[in-house]
Amino acid sequence: MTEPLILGGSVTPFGRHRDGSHWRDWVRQAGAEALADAGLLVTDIDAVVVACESDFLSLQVNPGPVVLDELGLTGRPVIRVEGGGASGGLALREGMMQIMAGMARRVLVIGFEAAAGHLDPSNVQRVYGLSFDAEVDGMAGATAVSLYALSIAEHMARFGTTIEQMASVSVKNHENAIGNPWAHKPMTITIDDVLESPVVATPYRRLDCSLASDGAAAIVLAHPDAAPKTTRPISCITGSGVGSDFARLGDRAERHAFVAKRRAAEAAYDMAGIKDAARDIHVAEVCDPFTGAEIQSLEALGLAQPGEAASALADGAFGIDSNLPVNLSGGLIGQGGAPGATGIAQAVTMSRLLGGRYRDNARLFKRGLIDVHGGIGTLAAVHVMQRVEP
Amino acid sequence: MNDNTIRLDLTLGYDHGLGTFGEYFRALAQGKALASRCGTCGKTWFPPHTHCPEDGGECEAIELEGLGVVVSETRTRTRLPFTDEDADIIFVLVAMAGADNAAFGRLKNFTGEDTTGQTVRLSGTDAPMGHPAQNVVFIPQETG
Repeated sequence: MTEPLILGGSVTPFGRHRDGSHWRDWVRQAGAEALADAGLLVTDIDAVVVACESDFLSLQVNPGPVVLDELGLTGRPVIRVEGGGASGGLALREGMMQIMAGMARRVLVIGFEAAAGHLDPSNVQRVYGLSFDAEVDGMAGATAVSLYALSIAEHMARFGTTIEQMASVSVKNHENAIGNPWAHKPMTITIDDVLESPVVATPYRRLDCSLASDGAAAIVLAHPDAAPKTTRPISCITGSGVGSDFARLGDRAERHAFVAKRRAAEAAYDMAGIKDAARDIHVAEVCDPFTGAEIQSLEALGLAQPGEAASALADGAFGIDSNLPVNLSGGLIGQGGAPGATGIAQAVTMSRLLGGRYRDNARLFKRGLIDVHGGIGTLAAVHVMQRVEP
Repeated sequence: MNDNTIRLDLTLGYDHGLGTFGEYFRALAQGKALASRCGTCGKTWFPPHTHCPEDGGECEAIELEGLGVVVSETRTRTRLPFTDEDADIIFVLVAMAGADNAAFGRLKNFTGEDTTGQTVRLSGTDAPMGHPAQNVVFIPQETG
């Protein structure tokens, strides 16, 4: 089986950009930096995949050709991929499939979102409320935070998960973001800070929640036969899985769990030949739009047993110096959440971790996992990546 | 805003067809819980589906009694879609008697602490609404 290589990538800083910049500026920067990081020219790229969640946010329908124009790639095949918060991960899979199918040899996968500084927050919330079953739940008033809150409430009732354990996720991820030049919200906080922050939707408080961010990310994939010689370790994608669940949270038998993610992970692990994820995955970037969602994600991914992730997180089992560091970037909580870009930014972070060149991290990891989802864990994309020696 | 930013205000008005949900919404407005039962597996869904999401079986409409039990709740201050004012709201998932799933909606006339486990009744609402889906409102079921 062909395992696509990741030659390079880049991320523009996530944040609330009120500086008069346009998402096209971020896309141009991310694309150019990714090509430079890969050691390629635009003429080396023969297909592009674009991820972007919402035209309500960008004010651009059919963004693919616009992205091509910005990057000097006009004329190449381009496909826009959208799956809510999973958009970036799905785009990565689309690029991967093009290479594995022999339809392209070098693919630029690029994602962006104007989710923070463009439209006012109340309207962004309204747009995101359409991410679920809009006609039934969204119009009834469901927002992202209310549905995630209802889901984690059942997790708390079933397993005894506590607000202090959830707060420990916020402390970890905000702390991990310190020193990350792409991060929206790096800071040192305490569990008490989280518990004293304003209530958003019980049990979630403001510091339990990730931020909607502006930003872009790009990555260059290549068939092994089409990759230039390199003197540094790079990475490849060995497994990819996508899973789905009922669009309405209330229709699910396991409302406390991310079943779509469990399905996606099982497919990715099967493809990558992984039998025991908790043993064979060495570092992970997982989807944490809310603190409880990181708990639910770790359990769905098999990195913790059901009901055990919260206590493990609180005990430091997924901390920066642990055997399985999770969200060294800060995740969505610390680095920020720009849906079209997030899954691709995860891949950039992971490729640099596996290549031994992520910030000042001196640890060498052999195999890592990246994970995003859209809706309330409704559509999930999981990828396994592995270090490749030069 | 800086001098490289302009303000754009976009107003979109939709003539929005309700499709097969129309019957469900009209029943809701009368305080009735119109569900659907799958002809293949027998599962009952409220809110309804035209076809069973599990097996694609065709569903028939059935009316539930309107009673249910709160399985989870969250309290928040927000604005319902297409309405004008923020409000303190208790959103809930309610397992309706006779259904195999749970319904997303909100509570009214609750003043206590956690409502999880309480029996409620679908009531509809007299409050201004932005969409007929906002009629999924539950009140306490008086006992005894």
